[in-house]
Amino acid sequence: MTILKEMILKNNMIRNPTIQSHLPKKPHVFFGQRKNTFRFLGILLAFLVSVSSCREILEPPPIDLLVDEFVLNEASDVDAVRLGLYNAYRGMGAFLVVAGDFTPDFVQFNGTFTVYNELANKQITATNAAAQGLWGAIYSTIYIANFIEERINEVPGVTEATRTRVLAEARFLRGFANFIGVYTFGDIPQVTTSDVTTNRTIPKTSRIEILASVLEDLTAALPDLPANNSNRITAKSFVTQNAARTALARYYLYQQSWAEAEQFATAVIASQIQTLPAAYSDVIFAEFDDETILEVAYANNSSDDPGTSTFGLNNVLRGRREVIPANTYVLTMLETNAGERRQTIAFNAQQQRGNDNGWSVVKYGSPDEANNNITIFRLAELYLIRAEARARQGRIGGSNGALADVNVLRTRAKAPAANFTTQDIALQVIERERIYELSFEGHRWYDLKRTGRIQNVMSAFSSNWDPKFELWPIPQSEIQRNPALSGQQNPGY
Amino acid sequence: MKKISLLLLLCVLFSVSAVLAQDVSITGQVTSAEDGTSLPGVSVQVKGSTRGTQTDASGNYQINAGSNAILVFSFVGLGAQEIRVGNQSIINVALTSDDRTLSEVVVTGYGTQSKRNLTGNIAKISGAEIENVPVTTFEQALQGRAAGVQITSLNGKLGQGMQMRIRGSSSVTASNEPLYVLDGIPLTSSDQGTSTAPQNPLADINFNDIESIDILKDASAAAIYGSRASNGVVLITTKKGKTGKTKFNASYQMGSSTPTRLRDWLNTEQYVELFSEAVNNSIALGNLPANYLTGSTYSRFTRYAAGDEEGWRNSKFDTDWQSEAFQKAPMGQFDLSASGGDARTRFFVSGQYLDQKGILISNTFKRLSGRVNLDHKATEKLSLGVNVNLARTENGRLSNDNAFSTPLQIVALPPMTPVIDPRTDQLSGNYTLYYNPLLNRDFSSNLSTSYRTIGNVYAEYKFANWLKFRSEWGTDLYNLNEDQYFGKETSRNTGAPNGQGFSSWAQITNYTTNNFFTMGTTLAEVHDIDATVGMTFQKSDATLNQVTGQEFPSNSYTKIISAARITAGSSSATNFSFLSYFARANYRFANKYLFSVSGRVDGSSRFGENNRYGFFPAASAGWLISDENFMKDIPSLSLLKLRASYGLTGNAEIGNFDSYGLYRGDAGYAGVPGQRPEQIENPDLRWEQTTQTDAGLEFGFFGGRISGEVDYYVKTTRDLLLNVNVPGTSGFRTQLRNVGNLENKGWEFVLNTENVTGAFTWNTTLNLAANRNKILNLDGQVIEGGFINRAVEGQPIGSFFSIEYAGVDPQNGDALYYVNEERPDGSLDRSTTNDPNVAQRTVIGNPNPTLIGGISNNFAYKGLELNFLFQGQYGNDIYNGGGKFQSANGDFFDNQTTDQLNRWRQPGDVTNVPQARLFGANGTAESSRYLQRGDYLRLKTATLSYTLPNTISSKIKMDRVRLYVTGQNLLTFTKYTGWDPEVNADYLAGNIGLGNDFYSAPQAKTIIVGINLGF
Repeated sequence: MTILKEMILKNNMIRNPTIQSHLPKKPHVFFGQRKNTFRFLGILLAFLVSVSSCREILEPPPIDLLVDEFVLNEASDVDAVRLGLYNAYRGMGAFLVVAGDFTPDFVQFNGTFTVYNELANKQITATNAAAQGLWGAIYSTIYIANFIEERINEVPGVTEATRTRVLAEARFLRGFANFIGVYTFGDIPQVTTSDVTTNRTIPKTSRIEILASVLEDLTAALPDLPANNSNRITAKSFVTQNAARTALARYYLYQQSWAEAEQFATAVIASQIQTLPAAYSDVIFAEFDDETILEVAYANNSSDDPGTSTFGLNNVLRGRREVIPANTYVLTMLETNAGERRQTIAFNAQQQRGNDNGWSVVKYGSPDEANNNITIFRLAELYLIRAEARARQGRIGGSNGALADVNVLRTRAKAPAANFTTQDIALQVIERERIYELSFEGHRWYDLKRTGRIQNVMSAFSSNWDPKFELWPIPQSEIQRNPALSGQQNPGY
Repeated sequence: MKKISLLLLLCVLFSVSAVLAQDVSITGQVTSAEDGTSLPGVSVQVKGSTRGTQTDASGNYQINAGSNAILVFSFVGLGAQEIRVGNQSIINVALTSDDRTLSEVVVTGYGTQSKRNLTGNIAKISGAEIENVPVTTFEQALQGRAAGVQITSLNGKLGQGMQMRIRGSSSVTASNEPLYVLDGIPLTSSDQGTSTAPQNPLADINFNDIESIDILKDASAAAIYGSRASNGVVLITTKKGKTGKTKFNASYQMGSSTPTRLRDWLNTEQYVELFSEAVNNSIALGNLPANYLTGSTYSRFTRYAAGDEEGWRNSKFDTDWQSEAFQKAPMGQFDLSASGGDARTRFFVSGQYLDQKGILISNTFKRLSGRVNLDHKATEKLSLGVNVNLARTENGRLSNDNAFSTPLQIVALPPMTPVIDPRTDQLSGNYTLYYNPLLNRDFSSNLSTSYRTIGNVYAEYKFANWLKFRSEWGTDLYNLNEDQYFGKETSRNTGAPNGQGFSSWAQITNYTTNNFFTMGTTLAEVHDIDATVGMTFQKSDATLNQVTGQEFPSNSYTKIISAARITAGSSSATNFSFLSYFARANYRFANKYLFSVSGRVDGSSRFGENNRYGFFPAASAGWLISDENFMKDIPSLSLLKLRASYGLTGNAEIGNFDSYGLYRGDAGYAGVPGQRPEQIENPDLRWEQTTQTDAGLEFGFFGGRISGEVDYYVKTTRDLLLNVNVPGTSGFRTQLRNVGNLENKGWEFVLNTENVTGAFTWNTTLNLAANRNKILNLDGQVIEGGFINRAVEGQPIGSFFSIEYAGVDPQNGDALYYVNEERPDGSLDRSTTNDPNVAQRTVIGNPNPTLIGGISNNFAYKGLELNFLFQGQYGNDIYNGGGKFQSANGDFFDNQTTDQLNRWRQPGDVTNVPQARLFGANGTAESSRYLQRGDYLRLKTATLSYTLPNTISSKIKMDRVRLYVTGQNLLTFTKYTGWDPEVNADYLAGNIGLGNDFYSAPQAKTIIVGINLGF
């Protein structure tokens, strides 16, 4: 205690020397050491402070993860980000089939998952997991595409060729994602930046404006994309000029701009980069077959196999058989005109009981068949686009007519040749032909909508059908989380 | 003039000293009460002054003090004693290590404080209390000993993870486990293994090295640990050497364990009867073809009976599979320690070897541990020392509770299956209903070996009596190797036709430094001030790698070098760091009014850059009412203290990189590697924070023969870390944000009584605690866990949420459930349905006990001592997730519990077990049918010991000879019908997964005998 008193006085002494005189002059050992003591304390404090001023010690970087600001800084980063973009776009693949084929008249429910029960029984709600999944995949793709577009010009050392191509791929995939988005959900937010704050409260943009941006993206991408890629796998799993042309052909078909649709279809067919394999079974069972223009690619026997996930098509269609072909669809596929294309579905008597008709969709392999890829574009679609565009323009027969294109596919399917002479019949045949050829590749629902036949077809198929199902609901969670979408749900949901 | 004033001053000084000069010289010797040896270096101080001395090499001292003075004798590791001088001139003192004196010292984190002056809530358990308890890890030994501390073993597997909850769960997604600090080093205490069944890194600690465990519970006590203190802090202090002759202590204990309880299963005759009936019932309902019994079923029975029809028709085979899951479980433990030292250097050296077999087949635990604690006084001012602990733990582990290969899933096998297939004289293998776990016993190994080095060095410099500085540098190195091999005989389980091997290494390197000043002084006799201020830094690096291989030439080759196919491999790494500044000041006025403030500034790599540093302050006050003059008239009252505290603590056990915007390199496309954005950055991300208010009353009567304390607390946690959904338009699905709130409220009650004193003594200590947990805000989310656990707003964490079983329809034997649909008027529809999909789910139970506690009694007469500790909990429910297989009235061919014989058989039967229907799912839905009360009271530890009288032990040149017998989990009182009410299925255990049973092994009942020799 006395020592403390002395300490206090000593300290005071420095400030206020007048007190000094009152101090007893008492020699004290402690004072002799005082200087050294303070020096030691000083060093110690300096050390402690220096530890704290070292900012890095509180920022050890994540080791097996990459922090945002380091993602796209140098030329070698470009490919990793580009593949990440394709990975995100791959996330849309299964949902295209779910939307295009499970929403209309192809399937019946045979499982336990609510998401498929709602789709197959036409009781789709705003909480449907597929709607949420597709929405998420679309915007993940757009996010990375925007990220690339914003950053790539600042990355040093990237060759002009790489820059041009990657930018074109990003624009293509963004355009395609928006195209799917607008035809699935109607008016949707148009996301044009990677700024999360902006994108979290973003209102809808009209369908017209989005479609304009789609056309702009696809058109801009086309010249900068490679005509072809070096090997079969890269040629069909990455975007080429023919993919952009197919997307444009489909775009114009949906816009009912027949001449442009025909023009792009012809460009692809005439390029002869893709050819129809002789057997339709190749289309079903082989990956990267001759006909494919673009498919979402999984690596077989690797960790990115979709496996048994809720939205793995192998699992849904073959493993769990969550949905099975509807009886009416089975009858269609068994028609003579379908030819070999009936191999799209298969029958197993052991599975037939109760409401289960024993049929399964086999266009996607069983989980261990290493056939996981989902076709986005293939040549047959272009023949059908061109046939429809030609029929609509009144050209039915002859070498530039619809009939010739239809019969290309009939021949390949080893089905009897078609024979029609009027536009009405031609369009009916082409609609049927699209079922035979393209079912479970994500077309039917979109086709019925663009041809205006959806009400007739669907109300005949299901008493639960409601015109509101012409659009999927904006996911409930989006409406809740994005204030700009509050009250903006699609009509009827 | 100057001279005169100086003279005057001297006069005054002289007169002052003249008053004190009525001092007399006091001499005496200080000895150890334990063994009578003299104690050098004991501090002898005149209370309230700086006058003091130390005992010499023979323990003698001399000091001058007045008759009113109080001498304080204190020595590290021993209880201080205060003695009024009075008219004595020779004062001999024997210091005891008894910690139940009023001046008991508690460890507060960066310091110590006397219990009397404490204004926070700290539960102290001395090492002596848990010494030689026959369990593998100290947390198990703590069960029932500290108020408000709930400790649950997940199951009876050795080395398995534990759950400790101090004053309830304060988090939903971050950790709920306390921070463990050993001699100033925050320990790596969370599971680092690769199995879904957690492994306990704290099992590496030899708890016979522990001097004391101090559990910081309220904010005032814990806030000095800042952002890591919300779940409480467990401070472990290891033993120090004691000055004096070198003392050796050798002890050996051996014993064996059995399961606390077995369940009753059908024998072959009952099995055949029940399942035949189940088949017939399903045929009658048209769900199975008419020939299903005589055809498919009988051939199935024959198949299970190793192809021998006699096996099931005449019970030729009648296997008690349950007994096959257990093994003889001997244990042996050898401890040797030496401690001693002189006035300058003290040491404590110890070693332990523990070899224990678990009650379950192939479950083993071995620990080899060594420790050196050295303290040296270099000069009067400088002391330094080192504590080092090396340990190697080898744990023969088992598959998790959900695996067919876990021993206890063996009970599902039909009793007509023989253990040895008579056709091959091999273990029954491929034809059994499920995989036979005995194959794992014979043809697999699963060893987890940890190598642990926990050590620190320190230096302490005393600038003055009132000021010292201490610097500590420590590490906790934890290496964990998991090495597994599954022979080809296990292929039915592994799917690998020719064997599978797995090897993994985890290395966690954890460095800490603590540097702090401690100050303490008394001003003007009535103002006692002490303070601590300092900094600490911690960094932890972890690397993990693992590889799996398949296709081995034979079981002689068990390492992956012999695997023809490497099927999986991975490596990863992570790290975190903390930089913190802390301070605490205690102020005591007139020895009666106590105030304390403390705070910590915590910076961590885990926090977002906008919130890199958090401040965690706490304040508390206490009033020693019994020291007030107006209370002096109540002689029976020896202590009455009121205290209150309020403060803020945090929970930083969030992910290491949760605040960053992150990419992950797993987004390949077409077999080419790529990366994907994984996480949106959240620069605002921070710790979860808990404000806690605590009010306590401590009391003592009759000179401390009755003492205790009562506390009431309210803990409110906010900023709970949740994955919040974000609009998909952002390109992401969720973002981690601090949004939720929850609350724990409760009270604690501790009572210590000395019921009988004298030659025969009887002491009792009782602790009880009640806690209510309630989730207030989860951003509207429902987070599920376990089988039917949920975290949902308005309910306690982990509430059981499912449909409600309504018993059996007496008319047709259907299982019934309450519809429980909410009617428009808000009431529930209590009608019943036989369709579980129609019944609405509702809260059917709570896994959190409303009351936990323990009571310990100690009887001693001369050398004979009997101690027993009961521990229990009340008010919680247990969900047996295995019920839908084990007690499913013959739904599938799993063997059934005998209570299923009580099934409904004919109209009018009133029973709780529905009609047996094979494949009928009659009552097998997850429902309250499988929910039971989980209350229990358990005789946790009972020890009877005899210490030979000195007269005898000295003849054999021993200081002390003690023989003892200890029983663990000897008795259990519960209405739960499963194996054990102390359960939480290992693969489901978590913040929300609570109170689940799934083929979880019961705790072991262990009886050991032991001997301690001191020489």
